[in-house]
Amino acid sequence: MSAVLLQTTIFQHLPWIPDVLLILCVYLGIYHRSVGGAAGAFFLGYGLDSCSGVPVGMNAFAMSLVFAGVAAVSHRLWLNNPVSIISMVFLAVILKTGAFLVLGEFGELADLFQPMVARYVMWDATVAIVLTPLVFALLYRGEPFNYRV
Amino acid sequence: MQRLLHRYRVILSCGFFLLISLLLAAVNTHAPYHIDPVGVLLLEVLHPFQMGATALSRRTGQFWDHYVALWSIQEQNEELRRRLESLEGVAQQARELDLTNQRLERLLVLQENIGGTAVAARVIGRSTVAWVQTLILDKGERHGIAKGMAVLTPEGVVGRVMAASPHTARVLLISDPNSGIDGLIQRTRVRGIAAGTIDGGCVLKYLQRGDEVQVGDQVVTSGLDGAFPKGQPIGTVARVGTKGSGMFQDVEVMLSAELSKVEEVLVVTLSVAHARE
Repeated sequence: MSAVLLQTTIFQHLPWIPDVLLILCVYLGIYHRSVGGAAGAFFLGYGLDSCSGVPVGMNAFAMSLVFAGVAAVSHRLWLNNPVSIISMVFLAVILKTGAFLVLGEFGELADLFQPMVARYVMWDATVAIVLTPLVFALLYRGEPFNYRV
Repeated sequence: MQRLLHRYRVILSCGFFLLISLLLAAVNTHAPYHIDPVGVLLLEVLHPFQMGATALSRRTGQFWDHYVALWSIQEQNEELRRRLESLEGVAQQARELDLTNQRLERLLVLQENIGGTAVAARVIGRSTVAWVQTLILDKGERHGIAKGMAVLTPEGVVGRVMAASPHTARVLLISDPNSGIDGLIQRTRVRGIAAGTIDGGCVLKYLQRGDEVQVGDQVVTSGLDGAFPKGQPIGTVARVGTKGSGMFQDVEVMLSAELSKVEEVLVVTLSVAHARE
């Protein structure tokens, strides 16, 4: 809920809004690969849908897809260094972008989504990738195992 | 069955949430009604936190605008103030030059109109004694100025050169009691002598009682003294009176040229009369 709050209030004043929710979703997919993690990813997206102007379900679908993708990769690969984490965030950006483009085509919202997605991929996702080590470091405070950025 | 469900719980839950979100997206995109079971509740829960976060970010922004950002603006402000002062000085100089240019243009026109030769000069000094009305010019004998020459402005007669050195000249103003310039009433052609008074004014002397003169008449140079070109304005008759049983009228003249504000003058070095000779 804090992430949704930050995303919809304070971060709006920044020139590029980092997608902290996406980083959180990747975090859940890597370190909380469970029903609770899946539910958390779903509700992260749902919360963003409720506070933004897109049809409800869009972000929920995208976040659920990101969680599923990251969970599947982390089930097979050992992800414990910054490069791999950043790569996962990059994969998450691709999955989220693809989800929006596909849903936009089916929902006949391509004209609305394509410029939005272009801007998202260019700036917001870049800022999110850059901030990934910092966000992961903050999330790991109090976790049972250590993470060194 | 239970073991299967437990083993694949993550995959199944992912699938479930994907299906639910896809269903919600499909319905909310195409259907005329809007399905958002939790959204309203979420918005209500977030509302106070969003209000607080927005107020905090607004206060931070104001602090930045009013204090931190002003640090750099102060230097810019000082720089702009210095530039403004400099530009105001330049503008003032430009205005001064423009006014000087206008005066010199009028002098040039006068020079062309009087027919003789003339030298333009600047006033660089005035008499320090109240009862002596003189000016000092920045040109003298080296520029062709000699004693007795007429000094004019576009507005009217100023006086006569009373002394000249190689580089300066002293001018006796028409308002000095010792001056005397041959003039006449433009309307009636009655002649008299324009002379100064002790209080810095001017009178037209030697107008007989029978001579026709009235307030408002223009007084001009007669041109008969050989120095002043004919028809140059001296002033306007301000008062006409008589003193007891005297022969002459008492005619006060308001001078055309503002002698206290003269900055540039024209010295007639060779009048038309002398040019003909």
